[in-house]
Amino acid sequence: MYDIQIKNVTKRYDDKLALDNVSIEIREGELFGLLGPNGAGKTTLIHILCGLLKMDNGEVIVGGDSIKKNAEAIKANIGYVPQDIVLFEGLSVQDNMDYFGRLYGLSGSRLKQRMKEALDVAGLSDRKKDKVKKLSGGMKRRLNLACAIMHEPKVLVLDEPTVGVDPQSRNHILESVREMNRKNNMTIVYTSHYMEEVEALCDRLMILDLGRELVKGTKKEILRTITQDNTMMITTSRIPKTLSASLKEIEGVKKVSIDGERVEIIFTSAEEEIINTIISQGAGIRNIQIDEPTLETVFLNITGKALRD
Amino acid sequence: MKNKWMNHLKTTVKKDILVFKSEFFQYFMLFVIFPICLGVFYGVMYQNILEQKIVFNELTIYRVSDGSAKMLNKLFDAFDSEGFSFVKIEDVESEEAMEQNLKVNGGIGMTVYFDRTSQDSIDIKWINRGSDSLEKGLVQQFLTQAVREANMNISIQNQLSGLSTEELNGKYPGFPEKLATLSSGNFVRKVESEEVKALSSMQLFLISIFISFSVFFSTGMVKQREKKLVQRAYASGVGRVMLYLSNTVSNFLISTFMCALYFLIVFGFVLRLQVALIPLIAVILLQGFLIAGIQSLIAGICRSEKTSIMVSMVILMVFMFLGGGAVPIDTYGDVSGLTNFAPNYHVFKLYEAIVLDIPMNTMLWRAGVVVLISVGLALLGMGIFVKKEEF
Repeated sequence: MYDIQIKNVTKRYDDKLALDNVSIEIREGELFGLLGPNGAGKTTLIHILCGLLKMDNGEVIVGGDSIKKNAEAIKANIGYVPQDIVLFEGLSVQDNMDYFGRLYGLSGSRLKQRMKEALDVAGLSDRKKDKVKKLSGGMKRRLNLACAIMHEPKVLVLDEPTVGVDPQSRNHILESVREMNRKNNMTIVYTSHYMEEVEALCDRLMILDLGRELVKGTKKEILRTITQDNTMMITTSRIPKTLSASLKEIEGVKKVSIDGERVEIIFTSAEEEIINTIISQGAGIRNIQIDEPTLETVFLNITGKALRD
Repeated sequence: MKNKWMNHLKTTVKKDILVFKSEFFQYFMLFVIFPICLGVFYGVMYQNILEQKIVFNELTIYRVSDGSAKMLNKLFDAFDSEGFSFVKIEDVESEEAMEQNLKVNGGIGMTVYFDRTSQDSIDIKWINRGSDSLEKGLVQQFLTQAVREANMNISIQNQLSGLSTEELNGKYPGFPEKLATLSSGNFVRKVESEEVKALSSMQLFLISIFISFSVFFSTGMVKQREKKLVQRAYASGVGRVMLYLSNTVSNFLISTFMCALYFLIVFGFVLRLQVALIPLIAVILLQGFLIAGIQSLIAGICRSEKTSIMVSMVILMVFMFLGGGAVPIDTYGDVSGLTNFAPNYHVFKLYEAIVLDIPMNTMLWRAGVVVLISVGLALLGMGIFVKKEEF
């Protein structure tokens, strides 16, 4: 098993506490998100996980090896996608990939094969001879990712990989990450301050702020830490008289209010049953809108500030 | 471990060569063409100041001599030599004739005569017409000195002439024998003047300026540190020492190539000098080694390109002024001792030895100094690079 265990990690930069006793366990093949505003400590944590920084206290164990004792072996199994575009601008796409592949010990036909596969993942096969400086920002981001997966790492660590990227490239990156996780059972640690990315991509996540762990778990678990209520807004073609009573009988429905053709239901569970009841009553649904609390709401609720502040 | 090291070294060198190739044009213009232009400019400037060829204008001396000052006649033979080839002596019969010639043609007139009363000294009466000149000054200085010497001889001769051999022996024991020996000897000894081997101003500056500027040859590791490329390489599991040393090797190779290219152009096309190839290759390698040492130190201590340029500029200034890159420091007397602390001066002296065909074995200590300094700088840079936590 290639699990990641981050135990009570603390890191200081002079007087500033960058990480305060942070602990995470990430299972093999999991897509784990680290969410937090700028300066939350995400990059510091990533750097410690990748062996780029030493921690003051705590322990990081990857695949059973301690990073303090066997950093080299751990690094060989991690693909690191830095926050910045870290590429040789004057070299071609394939020269960059060749360099990063060789750094991980690839050569010969294996190197060529991996380069082809990574280029396919990045969608840059037709641009492989172009110099990096001629690529668009989104393409550079994709190449940044491709260079990190040249050696088929067991763990892929992405540090805000979509900053300043056009929507097309952003989707491409997110899809590629999802695909690698699904196909290769690759463990992925994904940091971002875009909550919608983390929400959409990750199985579990942790929200960090000012070096402290605010909350962690699955999205649902995290949302439950503040509220379990959801709001469903339904627009109907007609409202039967018995609809309100029928809905209130469903377990999980807390409140039903009807205003003309609009029905507002506050509930904690049983979404399907609510909809089925409305259909069976012959209400004729024209539109359904379900408002769930978001991670933004969670963050706002816990810290009193917005995630991108 | 050895394989891993070699693999990383090959990877780094290949990458650095590709990066260098992509920036070759800038490198070539900045570090080959620019030093050549600067060297030629300085060379021509100093050549005009230090290596001036003086052309003497013809000078006519009108001489009136009653023939009594025979002792001086020999001295006038000096004007037949190459050194005084610009002097033309014309004998005239009288001072009036001399005045007439001077009025028409200018020049110097002189009357050479014995003190007519005591007959114990020669005197020259100068008549100068027209403006003073270097030629007139030289001739007057030479003849005045010659007359002083001649008068001293006359005085000695006068003192000795009245004495017999016995009287001489009594007054100055052993003198007659010594005189006899000296009289039979040949007092004229022709010696070859010692050939002073020195670089021309052009050669000097084309070599020294380039050595100073070569401090900027680098693989751009600082730039790569700033762009976090080194950090990314470190994330692959490559050790810090390996990262540092592979950069040093790359630096050495690129610097050596640039030096070889420069001297190929300078010796082959600019100066058109034929030099011994093996010593030249050895010194080029040594220069490459020095640059690798300096650039490794810079890569080890600087985390931004801006800082590295500032540090390189300080080193450049030391090389230019302390190491004689921009001034002919050897001519500065006592100050020139300080040059021993500037490694570029030692490299310069080695190139100088090649150009002047001086045996290299007398210069080996300089090569040793350069190697020591280079290794010291590289180790210092490595110590700092390995110790720093962040890249």
